[in-house]
This record gives sequence, structure tokens and C-alpha cells, in this order.
Amino acid sequence: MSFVSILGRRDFDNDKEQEFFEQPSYFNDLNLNQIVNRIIGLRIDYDLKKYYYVMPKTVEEICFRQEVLKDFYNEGIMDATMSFSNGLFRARNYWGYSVSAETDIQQKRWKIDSAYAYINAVREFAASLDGLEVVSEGMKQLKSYLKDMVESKEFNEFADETVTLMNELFDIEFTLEMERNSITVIPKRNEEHYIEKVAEMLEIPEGTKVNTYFGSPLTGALILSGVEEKIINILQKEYPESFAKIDEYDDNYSSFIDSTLVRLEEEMQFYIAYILFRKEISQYNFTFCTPEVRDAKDAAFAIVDGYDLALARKNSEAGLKTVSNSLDYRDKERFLVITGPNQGGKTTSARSMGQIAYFAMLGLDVPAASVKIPFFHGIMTHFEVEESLDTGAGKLKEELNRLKPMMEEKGQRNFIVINELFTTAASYDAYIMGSHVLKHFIELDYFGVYVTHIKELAKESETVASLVAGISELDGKTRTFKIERKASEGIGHASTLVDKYRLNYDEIKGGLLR
Amino acid sequence: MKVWLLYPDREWESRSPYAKKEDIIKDLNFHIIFKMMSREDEYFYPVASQVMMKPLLTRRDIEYRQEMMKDATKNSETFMEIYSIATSAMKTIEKYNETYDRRKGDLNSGAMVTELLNFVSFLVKQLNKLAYIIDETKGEYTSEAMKSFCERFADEYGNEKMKKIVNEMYHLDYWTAGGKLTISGNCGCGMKIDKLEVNKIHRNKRRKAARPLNVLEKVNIMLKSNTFALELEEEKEDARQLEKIAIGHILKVYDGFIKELKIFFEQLRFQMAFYASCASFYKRLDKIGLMMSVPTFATEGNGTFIGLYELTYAIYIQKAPVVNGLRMTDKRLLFVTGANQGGKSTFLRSIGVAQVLFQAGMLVPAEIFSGKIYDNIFTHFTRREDSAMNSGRLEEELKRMRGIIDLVTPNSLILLNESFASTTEKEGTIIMSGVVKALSEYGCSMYIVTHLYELARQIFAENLPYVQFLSAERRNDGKRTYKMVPRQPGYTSYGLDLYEEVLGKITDVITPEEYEAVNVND
Repeated sequence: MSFVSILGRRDFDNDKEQEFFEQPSYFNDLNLNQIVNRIIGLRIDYDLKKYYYVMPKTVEEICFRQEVLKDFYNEGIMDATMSFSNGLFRARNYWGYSVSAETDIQQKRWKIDSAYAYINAVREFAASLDGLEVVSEGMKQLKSYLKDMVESKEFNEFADETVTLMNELFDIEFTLEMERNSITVIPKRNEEHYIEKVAEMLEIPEGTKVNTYFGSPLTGALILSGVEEKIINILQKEYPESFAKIDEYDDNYSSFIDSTLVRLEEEMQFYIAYILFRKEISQYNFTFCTPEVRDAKDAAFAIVDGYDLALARKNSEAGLKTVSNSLDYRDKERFLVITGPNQGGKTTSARSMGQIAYFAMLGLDVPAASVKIPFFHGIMTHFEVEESLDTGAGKLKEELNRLKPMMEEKGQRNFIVINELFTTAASYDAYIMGSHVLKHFIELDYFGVYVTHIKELAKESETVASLVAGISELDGKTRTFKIERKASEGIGHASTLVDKYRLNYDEIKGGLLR
Repeated sequence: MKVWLLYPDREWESRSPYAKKEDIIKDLNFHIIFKMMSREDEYFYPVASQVMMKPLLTRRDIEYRQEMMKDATKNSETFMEIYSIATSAMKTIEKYNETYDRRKGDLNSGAMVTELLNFVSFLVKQLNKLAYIIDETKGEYTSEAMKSFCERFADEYGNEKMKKIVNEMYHLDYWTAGGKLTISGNCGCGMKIDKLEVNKIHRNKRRKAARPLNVLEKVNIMLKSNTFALELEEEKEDARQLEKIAIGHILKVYDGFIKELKIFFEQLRFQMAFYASCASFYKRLDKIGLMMSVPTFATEGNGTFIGLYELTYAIYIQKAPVVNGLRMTDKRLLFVTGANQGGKSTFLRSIGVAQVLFQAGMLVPAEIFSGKIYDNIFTHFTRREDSAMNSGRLEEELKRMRGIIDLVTPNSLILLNESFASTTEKEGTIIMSGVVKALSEYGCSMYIVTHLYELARQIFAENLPYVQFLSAERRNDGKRTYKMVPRQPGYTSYGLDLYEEVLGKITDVITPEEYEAVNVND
């Protein structure tokens, strides 16, 4: 079978080169750490950092993933994949137990358990996928890979022998009569049910869950205890044929887990984690869309109703709504400069654009109603850091130091998010420096968003659009959190306490009758 | 088992108290009452405050408690005894829960299982004690609440069932006494024994101390082909562990039973505490000579009160204070104006306190109290402890008012005492007239003590059929009687009298008419 990757990857060199994957520097600025840590955390048994920290290198990979993701929205595919994962997880664990087992009988039995879990997982997954319609190229490849596998003679012989043996092993039953100084083993089950008697006495209503069975606590869950060994010795005498078959099986099969399948299973966690995250927040009815990504000089960049996903999640937990914004770059525009009142949603909207760019470049759906976006090779951010004990000059220097690598990077097209540069410098200086930075990125044909309090920077031109965080027209002070295209300006207002608490006759009356 | 002593058809739940109960407690001085109710036992304080701050909303519920209150006063000692049994059961339950949490409910640990066995037998013992008391006293009770409680108890925790449980518990103790445990299973993953099930437990009649096997016994075991002796310490421990988990597994079946008992004792303790605290409260009031009576239900309007006094003030001064009366049969808006220091606030509070007691099913401080049942009671009292006139204080008052309006229903009672005294009379009047108009039109009952004469006169001029005006009486010689008398609202609260009393007379006073003229020009 030819090479398969459900992530549309061309090579896996990266996997070998890098053991440790560092979080991209823009994660904290865009509050992506809050989201991505949660996503990764939903599949904690896998190392998903390499998939969430490393971006695809081409638009083709992005589109490939977008298609696969659509298949994962199908509940049937999602469920089948989840249970396949669980099965494979078990098979791998059992294999590990077999390797580290101390007794001969356990080594052999864990191997059979592993094979049994593996066979069931593969067969069930293949069967489920067979009954489901898949759309993406990635899932089609996976489906046919599995089909070939389960239809192969080799796999079926192995599976049949394993299942038959397993059924026989399940029938090794016993009863223990435990006294203070001895245990007697009888090779069949006793038919009395004590728990049921107690439940009846306590008048536990029918339908209440009462567990009849329990598992062995002896020496943890893995190793055989001395007592268990003695029990098994007796059973060996009582069930000689079954035990002989265990030896025979062990001689026939050594390793059976397919390495390609294991890698595919890990790659699929990229989608599963994302879908689980979406399910977790589904109660809030957030809007998501598949972005249209193009790698062309004149590719459009337009966001309809984008929002800050990290903020929306927090707000929703507190029962609050989050404002969304529509932002676009027209013709030759390369930078959106956002000004307006404090706490007016400037930073939030810039952040939401960064988040959208990140998820779009990763090949996932984005927090917005509709998005057209150019292909970016990278995302770069520069946010004001919390006031430190540094003097003004120290802070400015620190900012410039962080800006330097961004300015020196002269690769292919990037997306830039700048939040309040040079706040400690004199306005005049800040304006000069700020416009120089803008010019630099525009000349490189980058796209970006620049949040600032310097309204002169927002001077509109062919390449710069001015946006302003909105204020309610009714009272001139309530923030609307809407970012609108218009020339930069100033604000201010006040009102009476009675209005604030809505305690005039009409408002009370209106409120009561509602 | 359902306790159902506070309500005829449900257990106590702390949900849905008065929407603004903190304000009620503060404005009506309820802590004085709670304190007196909890002299016997400090647990009574939270009980009284919770129960009384959750109003009864139907006549049936109130009468159910009033009836029960009679049994409580007549049998106060028995009630205290039942309360103590429930209390000691609860304390044991809490202690057990702590152990349980500490061991994370791990029934694999032998200590936990022993703990659980002791615990269940203790609870069963408390039930037996209760059964005895109930059996002795059941003839004494006249209330529906107590009579049906006794019946349910005999039914559900009667001797037969308890005996069976005690017997099974006896067998579970087999492992300290010696005996035989039979379990079945098969070999699961990794050849570990699995899918285990307990078949039988048998405890020896006489306890036998654990001792090693003697030679003869060893030989006997060796002769049986499928039996092995537990000789190594490790093996013994393994076997004991397997037994523990088996017993622990069985005890899990008792979980529901234990939970039910826990809820039963918790409810019993709480509900009994309320009646025991009431009984002790009435006894103490009686000693000071404060008369309490059983309230009745108003057939129309907002009711009639005769010989009503302010209970918290009476407790404070330890004697019966001035009494007042009020007829609100066809009214629901009450304005009280008049002399400063004339007892207006005390009067308003006396109504509020009695109303809350009435809706808690308790006796009330009045000769006759025929009351209406409200969905909710709100208080909006000026808070004198907040310093002088400033915007912060006005904002605080506005905020509280907004809070009330957000939660009010048409069938609510709102007590306003000197609201918006923190701003100018003019501004206060504007705010209050909006509030009063909107809320009274909505259907609310409002009892208002105010110094905002302009407001009172405005409302008076409107000649609404449902408004009553009272004034604190001031005799012509300036003396206050602390009686409220019907009177058209005037211009002055006679604060000048007080000023004169303390600081001397002011000679050049403008008349109310002149004041009015100035105000109009303003």
C-alpha cells in the first residue's frame, strides 16, 4: 500500500528531527494558548503539539485537511474513530504488559488479549467506515487501506485463530471457598447470588443499578499474586487442553500491530481533539465557518462576523454575549489601523483576526460567519507587555528589541498583529516610528492590523484603512464593541444615577409589564 | 423516609427564600429574634433564620405549621429528645463522611469496611431509640404533622426490616469472627481473576481467634487435591484483600440505604430544631409578659391588626411597649408621616415582623392579627449607619430599589422607611413618586414611612381609593404618644420641636405656605 497521511503531509522528517515542539511566540498574545491547550488537553494521551504548533507549508495541505474535517463532522465517522482509538490504545497497553510480564502464562495471555483488542478495533473500524459515506480524499485513502487489510488472508487467519482461542479462555471458570487458612478451588461457577438477596432485603427499587460483579484487586491490576498463581495452577490441571492452546498460539504469532495504522491513528487525533472541543462549546452556539484560503498576490481578505474565541468562551461561561465584527481589506489595502475609546474592543478584534488566521492556516474551521483569506507563511504579533518596573526608556527599548526580529524577517507573506506600540514615547516620536513600521510591512506586501491610540497613524491611504471602536449613539458613552470604518476621532460623556438604575416612572413601569 | 414536619407534602429545602432576605433581617432587626430562639442550642440560629426567611405561600401550609406548633409547645421535652437523637446521628454521619473522604471512599481498605459496619449499626440503634420514643408518646399528638410522621415511621423503620438488616450485618462481620466466603469468577485479561461474584457468606457462631494451622490440619488440606493452605504472610494478605473487596462490594449495595438514613436524620434534625426553638422562644416571651397569639387569615384586602407591637423592640426593653392598630381591608397603600421620634419606624417594623412570623407559621405579637399572604416581602429602609448625605449613599439606595423592582411581583409587600432621605427633598420626591406610582399601579402593597411631605400631599391630592394616611400623633403641647392616627399629610414633621427641646427656640420661621411659595418659584 502506498504512503498515507490523514493530515495531507508529504513527509515525516519533522517528526524525527524534532523531539520537542515549542509553542509559537504569538500564542500568548492572541490568547491562543487558552484555546489550543484546551484542545490538546482533550486528547491528553497523545502528543498533539507537533500538529498544533507546526503549520502546513502549502494551500493544498490546508484544503486537504478542510475536507477531512468535514468528514469528521459526521457523527458516525467521529464515533467510529473514537472507538477505534480506544481499541488501539488498549491493544498497545496489553502489548506493553506482555513485554513486561514476569510469568510465562501472563506474557502469553497479555499477548492474546492485545491481539484480540487489536483485531476487534480494526474490524469494527473497517466495518463502520464501510457503512459510512466519506467525502474527503484523506478518508477515502484510509478507508481503502483498512479494507485491503481486513480482507487479506493473512489478517483473517490470524483473527480467526485468536477469536476462537479467546472464547475458550473465557470459559475457564471457578468457585473459591475461602476460609481463614485455606482456599478450595472448584472448576465451575456457583449459582447463588448474594448481592441480589441483599438488594431484595433493603427493598432497593427495581431498575436501580446494582453491580453483581467486581474485579480482582490482587497486587494491582497487572501482575499475578501468589494466590492467583496457585489458583491458576489448579485450573491448569482442570482445563489442560485450553492451556496447551495458549502455548501453541504463542509460538505462531510474534508481532501483529501495523505501524502505518498506528501513525494514522495518531494523526486522526488532530481532528478528534478539535471536534471534541467544538462539542464542548456547542452549548453556546458559536458560529464557525470553513475559510476560503488562496495563495495568490491578489487573494481577498474579508471576515464576516469574526470574534475572539477565547473571550467568547469566557463570556459564555459567565452568561455574557460577545460582539462579533466584520472586517475587510479592500483593493490594495494592507493594514487596518484601529483607534477608539479604551475598553472599546480594539484589542479583542485584532486578536480575533489573529485567531482566524491561525486556524485557517492550520486547515481548521474558524470563529466567524464567513472568511476569505490569503495564504500566510506565518503569523507575527507584537503586544504591549504588562507595565514592569522599567523606566520609560527601558520599556521602549524592550519593545524595539522584540520588534527587531519581526522587521528583519524578509520571507514570504506573513500576517502581522500589532497592539499599542511605543506608548511610552512622545506622541511625535511614536507617530514617526509607527508609520515607519507600517510602511515597512506594507512594502513587503504583508497583511496586518495595528491597534493604536495615535490617531494620526490612522490616516487613510491606498494601503491603510482607518477603523474605530464604536460608541452608542443614544448616550454617547456605552461601548458597542463594534469596529467600524471611519476617520479617527475623540469622545466623552456623563449622566444621572437615576438613569443609571433605570428608576424613572416610565422605565420601571415598562420593565414591570414586560 | 419523609419527615414532612414543616410542610404537609415536602421536605425542607433552602431554595426560594425571600428574594431580599438579608435586607429583611437587617431592617426588621430579626437577629434579635433569632438570638432569643437559639438560647438553648446554637444550631437553632441558622435553622430559625432559614425557615423564617422562606415564606409559606398558602393557607394550608401555614395552618399545618400552626397546628404542629401546638404539639411542639405541649411536648417540648420530647421534641428536644428527638432533636438530640437526630443530632448525635448527624454528628456520627459527619464523622463517617470525613473518614470516607479521607480514604476517598476506598472500601478496599479493611479499616473503612469496619468503620462502615460500625456506622450502619450505630444508625440502626438510633432508629430503635426513636422507635421507642415514638411508641411511648404517639397518643399525645393532635397535629396532622406529628400523627402522620409517627405512622410513617412505624411503617418504614419498623422492627421486622431492621432485624433482618442487623442479622445480615452480623454475617458480614465474618472476617473478624471467622467463617467461610464463597465467590465465583473466571480468568480475565492477563490471566487475572475477574468477573467475581459473591455467592455466600457464613459466619461462625462463636468467634475463634486466628491461629496458624496445626500439623493435622495441614495434612488434611494436602489430601484434598483442589485445596491449598495459606501459609506465607503474602498469601494470607492476598486472601484477606480479596475478602475485603468482596465485602466492600456488598457494602456498596447498602449505599442507598445509608444515604436515605442520612437524609432522614438531617431533615429530622433540622425540622425538629425549628419547632424546639419556637417552643423555647414562646416560653421565654411568656416569662417577660409578652403576649403572642395565633394569627388568622384576612378574608379581604390587606387585613386588620389590633394590639400590634414591635417584638424586637419589646425583647430589647424586656417589656410590652405601646401597641397600635391598623385596618387595611380596602387599602394597600399606606403613608405614615408626622412627628420625628413619634414611633413611625417602630410602627412600620411591627407590621413587618408580625407579617414574617405569620408567614412562617408562628405566633404573632398582636391581640388580633388577620393577615394576607404575600409572595414576597421587601424592605427599603434608610441606612443610618452610612455616613451623611452624599452621592455614594444615594447610589446605594437606588441600587437597592432597582434590586427590589427587578424581583417584585404584584402580590408583594414593600415596606419603605425614609427612603431617599439621602438626597434633597425635591429630588427625593421625584424619585419616590415614580417608584410609588409604578409599583402601586402594578398591584403591590406598599407601607411607606416618609418625611417627603410634598410626595404625600401629591398622592393625597390624587384621591386614590386604596390609600390610607396616618400620622404619628403629636399633642399640641408637643408631646408624642407613639400612636398612629389617621390624618391628612401636613408640611412639617415637627422637627423644630426637637430642635427647641435640645437647642432652644428658633424665632424667625417661615410658614409652610411661604415655603411652598419659595419652592414653586425655584
